[in-house]
Amino acid sequence: MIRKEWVVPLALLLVGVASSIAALRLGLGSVHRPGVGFLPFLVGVSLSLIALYSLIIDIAAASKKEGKEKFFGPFLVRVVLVVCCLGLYVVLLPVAGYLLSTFLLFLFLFKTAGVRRWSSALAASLLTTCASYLLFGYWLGIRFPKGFPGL
Amino acid sequence: MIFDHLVQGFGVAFQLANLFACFVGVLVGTLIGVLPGIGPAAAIAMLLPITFKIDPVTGMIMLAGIYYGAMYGGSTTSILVNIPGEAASVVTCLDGHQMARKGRAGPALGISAFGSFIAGTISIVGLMLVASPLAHMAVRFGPPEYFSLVCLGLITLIQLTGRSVRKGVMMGLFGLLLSFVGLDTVTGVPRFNFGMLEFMNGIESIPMVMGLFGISEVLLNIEAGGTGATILKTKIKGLFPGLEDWKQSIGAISRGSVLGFLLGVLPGGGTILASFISYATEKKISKHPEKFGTGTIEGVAGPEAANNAAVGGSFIPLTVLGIPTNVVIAILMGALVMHGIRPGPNFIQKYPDMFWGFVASMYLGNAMLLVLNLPLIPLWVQVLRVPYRILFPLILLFVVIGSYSVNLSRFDLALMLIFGVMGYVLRKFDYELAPLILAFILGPMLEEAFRQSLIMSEGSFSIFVARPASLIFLLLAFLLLLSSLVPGIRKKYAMLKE
Repeated sequence: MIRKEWVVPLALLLVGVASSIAALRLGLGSVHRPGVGFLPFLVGVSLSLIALYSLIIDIAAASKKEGKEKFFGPFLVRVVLVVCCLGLYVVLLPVAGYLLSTFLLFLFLFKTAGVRRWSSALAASLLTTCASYLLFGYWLGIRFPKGFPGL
Repeated sequence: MIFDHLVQGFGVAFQLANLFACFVGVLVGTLIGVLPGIGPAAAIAMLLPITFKIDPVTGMIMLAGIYYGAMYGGSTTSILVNIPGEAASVVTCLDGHQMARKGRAGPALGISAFGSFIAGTISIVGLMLVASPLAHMAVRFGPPEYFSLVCLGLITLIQLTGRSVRKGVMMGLFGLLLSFVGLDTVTGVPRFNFGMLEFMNGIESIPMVMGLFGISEVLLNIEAGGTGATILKTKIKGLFPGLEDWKQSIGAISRGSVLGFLLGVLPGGGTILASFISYATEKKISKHPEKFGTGTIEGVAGPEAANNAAVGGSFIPLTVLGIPTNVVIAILMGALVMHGIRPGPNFIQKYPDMFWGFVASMYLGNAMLLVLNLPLIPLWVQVLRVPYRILFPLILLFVVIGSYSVNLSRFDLALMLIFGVMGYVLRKFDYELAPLILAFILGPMLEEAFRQSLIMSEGSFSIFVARPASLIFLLLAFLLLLSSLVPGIRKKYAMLKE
């Protein structure tokens, strides 16, 4: 079974190996005239080796470890929700435009954060969206997507 | 000569726009410092896009103001709430909060403000005196020296930050790999861009930094359930420290100033290390070390002076060599590069208005902080009462808009989110992000210097050790790496002995 502390070295090992192969394909050139892939290859190989060493150490340490440490905080679900919400915002932004999608984002964030009353969450979202539009869109001249509402 | 330049600098700093930028910078910086859960790196990254709309000198003045303003603000939270407003104020909690509990919050806040002002001013004088002569020396550096210097910088940073050198090295190498994405500067061949046009010019640094620092910080705080600040109910009186307090603190402030300035120059040194080492030094040389941690004023004055002095010191490698020594400076360098300004040995000569204007603005900013901060303490106390559930959506808004506004691109937002999740995971597993960012920023310089050196020497690696300066830098880097093995060897030796 893969333990959670192996995730990062394993991912870095994969990145290192993949980039070494990609660098090889780009061409290493010669020492006299290093090619496009020369340094990326060196770095990729070094990363793979250290990540592999790290993984071996972690695997060895895992067998000695006993008991379960509490790794995640009490509100992990909120983290997942916020990430999903931001992902949805990225998708929604060009379709629904800045004002509508930002309003929805804030409504969701305030509710996720524990603002109980809908009226408070609605008012806070509306206020923040309008204020941010005035500051960034109007004053600083950032062009936000208008989307289907055309706002 | 320096005096003439300084006069010229004050001419720039006193321009209305620059004066206003300095004021906004130090005010926002103090606010960021006061608020736990958001550090100066994330704050500067968030406000970076605003500076693209204004003159680069004005932008730099504002961003630097945020950096040293945050150092002032951090102590307020440490003293009153026992939670560090930012990482460099961790040690201030030890004695600062104890002083507050004993009814001496006023002198603690006062001495940290005065100490910060004195140290900040000393470090600006240092920056002014040292930067120009060093730049003259650095002009003689060629590609091999730059390659070795960047290696030394990265290794020092890895050695000084974080608990695991192995993890630091992995982060540095990963940062280097990310810096290779995009068109090769020498041949124009695209690398690691997955056939995507958006990656042709490399990974955009702003969404990356915003994700790694801004988003990940918010996610970690949400997971922990916010900060839950409980402000000590005490009357804040006697903000001006008495004669006895001054007597006890002045030595700590002086030592903290010198130590902080020197550590600021070192890659990876920065404000956090400066404050910790200053505290350790004060405790070691004190006649009553047992009192440290129970509310001694030296324990507040020294570290607070040191973290402010480190800010001035950290600008030296940037302005003299074009090498950032910590994440905040790396972000500032990114801002300069986006304005088409590349810091390096010719920076002071090429952009005297910017350098001297910036130096003069730091004098003004420090004075502003002293005048502003003490009367504004009641306001900061109110700010601390804002719950995190209200604060984090606002932080996210700044991060999102900041990432989007660089290229008005949805792709950048997706990139920010990916790096945000990546930063969250890495920080959960105790991987330091500073080596990643620094390697990413320095990657192109390192590669260019490496390839040019090999072309110069017709493929002989001996060029890196044949030139004295390069040899010294590499030797230092090697010794540093070697020193990281010492604790492990000692441990094994002790085990064998048993």
